[in-house]
Amino acid sequence: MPPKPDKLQPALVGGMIIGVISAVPFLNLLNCFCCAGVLLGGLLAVMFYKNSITPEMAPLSSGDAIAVGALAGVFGAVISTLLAAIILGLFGNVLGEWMYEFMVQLIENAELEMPEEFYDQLRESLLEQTLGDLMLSFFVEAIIYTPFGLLGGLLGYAIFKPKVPPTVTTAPPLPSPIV
Amino acid sequence: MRQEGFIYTVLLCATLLWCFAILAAPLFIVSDGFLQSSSEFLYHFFGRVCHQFDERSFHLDGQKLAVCARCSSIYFGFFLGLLSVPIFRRRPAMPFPPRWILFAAVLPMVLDVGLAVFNLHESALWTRALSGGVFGLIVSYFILAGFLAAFRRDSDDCQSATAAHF
Repeated sequence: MPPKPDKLQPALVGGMIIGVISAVPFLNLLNCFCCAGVLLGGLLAVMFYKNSITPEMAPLSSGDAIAVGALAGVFGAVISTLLAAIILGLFGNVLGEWMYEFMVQLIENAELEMPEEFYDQLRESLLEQTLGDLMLSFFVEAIIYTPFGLLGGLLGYAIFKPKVPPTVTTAPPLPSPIV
Repeated sequence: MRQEGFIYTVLLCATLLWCFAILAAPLFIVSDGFLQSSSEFLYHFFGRVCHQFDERSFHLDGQKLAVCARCSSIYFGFFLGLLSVPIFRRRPAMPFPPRWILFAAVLPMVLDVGLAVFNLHESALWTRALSGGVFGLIVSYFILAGFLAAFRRDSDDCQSATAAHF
C-alpha cells in the first residue's frame, strides 16, 4: 500500500485560509463566533488532505485529521501575524479606527457623559499597536488557533470521513455438542 | 479501555479549565493585584474568540462573562455533553454519530442568526443560549469520538463508522 500524502501542504493551505480570515479587517470578525474562521481553516485543510488521498492509499483517519487541523492552526497563527503586520504597515489600524468611531458614536447616541480619560484609554486600547502587541498577539493566537484548528480538523473528519460498505457480521460458531 | 478513559478525562479536564476561565474573568475583576491582572488577561485572551458585547453576555456578580451568551452556551454545553457520555454509555468508547446530526445541531444557530439578519425573528439572549447550548452538547460527541478513534490502538474507527448509530 503506498504511503499517505504529505500533511504539510494541505495544512499550509488551511493555515493560509485561517491567516487571511484572521488578519483582514472586518473579515476577522468571523472569528468572534468561537473562532469560526479557524475551525473553517482546519476543516478545509482536512478536505484538501482527503482529496489528495488516492484509492490505493489507506483511508483518512481521525489521527490524520487531528494532525492536519492542528498544523493548519499553527500555520494560521504565523500567517495571520505576518499578514496583520503587513496590513498594519500599509493601511494602518483600519478596524481599530472603525471600532473607536463606532464606540464613540454609541456613547454619543446613548447621551452618556464620559470622562476624557475614558476616551484616552479607549484610543490607547483600540488604536495604538506596537511590535510587542503583535508578539503577544502571536503567542495568544498560537495558543488558541492550534486547538481550534484541531477541533476544525475533527469536524472535517466527521463530515469527510470515508464511507465504508457495511460489514456482514456473522454469529460465532456454536460449541460442539458434548457426547 | 484504560487509554480511552485517560483521553476522556484529559478532554474533560481541559474543557473544565476553559469553562472555569470564562467564569473566573468576571469573578476576579473585582479583586486587586494578581487576580485582577489575571482577569484582564483572560478578557484579552477570550477577546480573540468572541466579540464580548455586554448586552449579549451573561453576567456574574454584575460583570459580563469572558465570552458572549452564545459562546458560553457552546462551551458549557460541550462540557455537559462530555459529562453525559458515561451516563448514556457504560464506557466512553463510542462510534462516530452520523454526520446529519452535526448539520442538524448547527441548524438552530443558523436559523437564529439568519432570521435575525432578515428581521424575521428577534434573536434574544435565551435563543442564543439555547441554540448554542444544543450545538455544544451535540458537537462534544463528535469531538470525543474523533479523539478516541485517533488514539485507539487498533484504529477501527472506519469499521465503527459503518455501525453509526447514536
